Amino acid sequence: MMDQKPYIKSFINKIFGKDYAAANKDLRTVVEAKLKEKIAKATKKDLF
Amino acid sequence: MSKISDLLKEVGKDVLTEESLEQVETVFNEAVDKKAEERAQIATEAALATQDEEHSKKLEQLLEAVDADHTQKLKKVVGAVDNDRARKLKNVIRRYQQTVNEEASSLKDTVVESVSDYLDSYIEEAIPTKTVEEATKNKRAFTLLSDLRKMLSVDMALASDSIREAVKDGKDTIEAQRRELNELTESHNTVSEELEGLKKALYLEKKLVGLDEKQSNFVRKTFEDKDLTFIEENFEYTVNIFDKKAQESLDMLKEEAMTENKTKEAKVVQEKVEQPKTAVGHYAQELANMRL
Repeated sequence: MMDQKPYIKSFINKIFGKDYAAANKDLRTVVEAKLKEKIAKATKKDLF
Repeated sequence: MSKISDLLKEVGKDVLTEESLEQVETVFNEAVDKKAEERAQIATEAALATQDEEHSKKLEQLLEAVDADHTQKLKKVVGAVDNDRARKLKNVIRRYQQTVNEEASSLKDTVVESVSDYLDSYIEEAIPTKTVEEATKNKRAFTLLSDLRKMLSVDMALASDSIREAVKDGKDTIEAQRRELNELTESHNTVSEELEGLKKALYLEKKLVGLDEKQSNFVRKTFEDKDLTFIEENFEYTVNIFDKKAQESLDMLKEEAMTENKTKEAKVVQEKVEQPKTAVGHYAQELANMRL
């Protein structure tokens, strides 16, 4: 499972630095990681 | 002094008198004294000037030396104070930097946690966990079915044509068999009912042999809508009840004939017939109807 904290820190730093494009990239990475976590949790449940 | 007077005595011992000599000596001495005083004053003034100059120079030198010393000392003091203040300031800066770094680190962690929580809640609102679970299940089921199709060597074309027809055929066959089963069941029920009726009629025919017509009619009417088991269980009882009631009616008629001994007009009494609720009630009703 990916550590999301560095990406969130980077996201905040880039927002303060007004580098919005790079901040958007970090945010997307974090959201994708969170969704993957959710999907992984759902996959662990029994199908039937 | 003594020299000038001695000289004058030697030079003018014949010319000068003692008084003149004294006068000359006095004048000379006065002039010498005056001159000496003047010269002494000049010399004193010169010495004083020289001394002043020397003292001025010395004072200047002294002042310069004192200034230099004080300057050096002040520089040392200033340097020491500067060093002390600088050291203290450095300590203060280091301590503040440490505190600021610690607090900033803590604040950073808090902010990161807050942002993470906010993103979690936003994602939960936008894409609920249930939806994700449902989608995951669908995807897994689809994958599973695809794998099964592959395992069973059933491709989509086969599934869409051959299997659909086979399933249709199977369904038609099942429907036809179901209809046939229903018809057979219905037929079976009819046959069973007929058989039951025949069995009942046969049983009654056998049992009613030897009974008179009234008894036969009573029994047939009583057991008209009853099944065979019920008839078997209650036949003897019903016949006995009929006999008993018939005897009672006969006895009653005999008594009436004996006491009144004359013919009375028959009074037609309309009795309200109640539908019996039990088998025994039914027998009693039938007997009452049969009363002569």
